Amino acid sequence: MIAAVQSVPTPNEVQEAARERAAIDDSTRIPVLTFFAAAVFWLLVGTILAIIASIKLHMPEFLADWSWLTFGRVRPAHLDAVAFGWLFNSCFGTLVWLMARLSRVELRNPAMLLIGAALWNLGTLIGVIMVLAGFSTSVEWLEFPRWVQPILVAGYVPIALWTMLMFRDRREPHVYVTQWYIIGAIFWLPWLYLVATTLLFWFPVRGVTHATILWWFGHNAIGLFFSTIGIGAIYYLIPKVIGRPVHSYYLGLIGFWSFAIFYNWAGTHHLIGGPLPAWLVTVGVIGSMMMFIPVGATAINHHLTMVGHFGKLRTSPTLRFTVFGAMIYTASSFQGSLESLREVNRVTHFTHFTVGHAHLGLYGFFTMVMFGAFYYIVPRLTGWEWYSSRLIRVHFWTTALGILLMFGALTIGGWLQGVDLAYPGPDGKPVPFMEIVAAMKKYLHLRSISGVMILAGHIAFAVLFVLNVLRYGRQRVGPTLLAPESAAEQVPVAVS
Amino acid sequence: MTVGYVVLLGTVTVFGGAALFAFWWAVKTGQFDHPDQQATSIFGPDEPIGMPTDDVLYPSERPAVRPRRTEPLPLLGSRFAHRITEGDWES
Repeated sequence: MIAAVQSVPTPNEVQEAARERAAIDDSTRIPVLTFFAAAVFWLLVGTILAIIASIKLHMPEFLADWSWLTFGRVRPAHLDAVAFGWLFNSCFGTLVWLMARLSRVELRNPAMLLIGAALWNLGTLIGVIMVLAGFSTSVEWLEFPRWVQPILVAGYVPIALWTMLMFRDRREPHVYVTQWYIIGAIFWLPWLYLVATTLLFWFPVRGVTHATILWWFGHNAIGLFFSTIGIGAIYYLIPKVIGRPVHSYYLGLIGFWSFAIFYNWAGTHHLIGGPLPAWLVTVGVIGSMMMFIPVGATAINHHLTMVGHFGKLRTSPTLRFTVFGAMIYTASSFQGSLESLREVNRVTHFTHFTVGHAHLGLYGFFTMVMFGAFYYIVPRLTGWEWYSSRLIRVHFWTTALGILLMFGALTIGGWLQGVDLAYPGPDGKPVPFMEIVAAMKKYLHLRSISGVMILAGHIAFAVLFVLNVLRYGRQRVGPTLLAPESAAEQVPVAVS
Repeated sequence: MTVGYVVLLGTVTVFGGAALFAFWWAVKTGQFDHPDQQATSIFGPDEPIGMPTDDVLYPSERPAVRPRRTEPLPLLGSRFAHRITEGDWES
């Protein structure tokens, strides 16, 4: 396809390319929409659980008489519903579609992906119920009971396998930078998950090693899977939406390979102040600081690609969500690197500051990019346009302002909390713990308000998604990806 | 700890080896050659460079009066480029 864009294509070439693209979209429609539907469901479930947990932080008596909804269960259930339900399902749908598009190959035997989706979501459903029922392992990010893990693995195998089979059968010889990110994510996740579950549950290690492996997994699961898919999606969506190649492909490749080299080392910065050997923590700090290289390369690249096209943020929902996510990626990554410094971590550790950072990364960056991907991909699969631009605006502004409010409240509150916990007060004596707790209430109120804003946005998003899948509203005009009318008249409509 | 060493060393060998192999394969097959040209690989004859593909969402932000036309619109999203009319966006 590289050669095709260097000269003026003939009508036949245009027609053939459009037919190929429509056929690829058609082949991925059912499995990708299945992943996306499951993702939207879990997004709502996870958000409701989040709000319950958030309210309990400033109103402990809220739903306190129902053991299933006590904070110790709701909070991990929120994390797992969002992580295994929303984040992974949206990742799977996006990576399958992107890999098919970039490989220029139709998806074969999509039923295998449906089996993968069924098993993955069955495992997630059982896991969340078990956590709410009080059977959590209490290991963060891996709260599901041990016997749920094989179900998730069984669900993941066909998803990874089918994605790699598409890559093997690709008709496009060049591996675009997005594919590098997808392939990396496909390989890194089983490495992380198998090592962590084996050494934490099946043949458990003890003590410091346990914590080290846990945070090697916890940190890398975020960066080496979610961030990877998010960055890869950005590298596809921004150039496609604005119709301009990425500013510097060199920077894109440097970003990927330096990301692959450095990110894996950073996990132990979660254990600063813990009983780890100092050198091990220092390795994590150095790895975190080295992340300035890939993050800076990616940020510069995205920005320079967008230069001259920022006006399109007014009109394209995909671009608006994606660019917002890309900007937050830069901010949250730089913040994370600085947070790994011992001097900073001394204040921020065990405070709301860390919670704010986690939400900035996984929501402000990754989730917003996934929203952008949904807005781009779903109409191309359903053949139907989004029902209401107003609802999309509601979705964007409630979620964007909501996450910024949450981040601001938790960052400011968390920093003050950390200062009070780590240093003496004005009178030279330690600040009473309950005074610190009470001082946090206003920030926690703001957190709950932001959660309600985000829930409103998610409801708008879910309504839009359901209406689109049900084909309610306007039909798309013509096949998904046909440009010239002459070709459009000849190419069969893939979905309508 | 024997199992731990086996798991750690085994996975490092397998996955680390896979990463090295991927890098070697990429160099060998010219994936790092001509990067500016390869950046265009996501475009094609039906979605060429210069054609935005998602820019016609908000009707209220477009000019109030537009001529009705049926021929392709330059630099408009391919999704609707061939047949956009005023009525298409009124809901």
